Amino acid sequence: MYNVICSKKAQMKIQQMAFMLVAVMIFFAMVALVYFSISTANLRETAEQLREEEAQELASQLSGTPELAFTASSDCSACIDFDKAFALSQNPNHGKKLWNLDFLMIERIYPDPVEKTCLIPSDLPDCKNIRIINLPEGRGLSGTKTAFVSLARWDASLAGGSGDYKYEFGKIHTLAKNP
Amino acid sequence: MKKKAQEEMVGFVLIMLVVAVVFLVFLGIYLRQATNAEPTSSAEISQFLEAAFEITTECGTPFPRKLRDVILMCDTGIANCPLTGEDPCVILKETMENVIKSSWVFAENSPTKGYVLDITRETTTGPVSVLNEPIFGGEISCRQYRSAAKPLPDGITMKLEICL
Repeated sequence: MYNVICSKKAQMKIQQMAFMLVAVMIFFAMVALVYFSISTANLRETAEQLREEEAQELASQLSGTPELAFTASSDCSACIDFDKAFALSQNPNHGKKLWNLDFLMIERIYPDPVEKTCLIPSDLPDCKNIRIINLPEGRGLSGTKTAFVSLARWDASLAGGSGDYKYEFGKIHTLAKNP
Repeated sequence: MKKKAQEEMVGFVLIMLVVAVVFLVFLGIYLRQATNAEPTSSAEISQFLEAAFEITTECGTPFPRKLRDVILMCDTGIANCPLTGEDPCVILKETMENVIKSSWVFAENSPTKGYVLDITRETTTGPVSVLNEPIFGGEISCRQYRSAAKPLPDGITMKLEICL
């Protein structure tokens, strides 16, 4: 009789301990889940910030190179010279030699451009894209970095017909060379 | 024997309750952090504002003013655009709305849901909106924001928040 009571009590204790262990495990699992979701969210944010900073760095580097920099006037040091970019696009090999990139395109965003690539001088100034380095065959656009830039170009209709520089809004698209 | 077992059960339930309360506190803190997310600084928006300041507007054509000058003209409120006679504040609002809408797509299924643009001037009583009210579009009450602000002369600041 005594053995039966003792055995039941022991079983109860084991059961209680098992429940307790399960509860503690579930608790720690949930705490870990919350912790990891917070740290993953921070990681994603950090990655996004790094991507943006990289794009900004690249844009400022490119707009600072003499081949693209707007140097005709001192009031916009970070502007890209649209006319220089167009001249560069006329010979894609120049761009390839200058920058270690697989793709380099300058896009006009504002004022609303006509949906076409700037290929010949008569396409200017209303065309949308200047492709300085064309995408190699079989290479996708994934991984392209973009940054907002000011585009400066000569507009003969301004200043009462004597001409002045017009500043527009655009984006620069770059894709690093495939290793 | 029965009483002791009952005590054990009560103890076990108490421990479970404590564990549940601690978990709920953790969950509450996490959810509060997620919903009250402060706008995070964005290099992309900062670059956007910097480039936008340089845009040549329609104000004063054929001797057009840059957007940064139009902001200052709108703030002083003294003069209209020379030659064209347009209100610089109207030009400023239209230009910024067009540039923002051309740069991002604001839709429910898009990564960007909406925007709030505010141009303020610092005064002794606090910041005053240059355009009387912020310019906004799309969904503006959301969990996550990215934002940037750029200063101009005379204590003017242009701030753009993009709702994600």
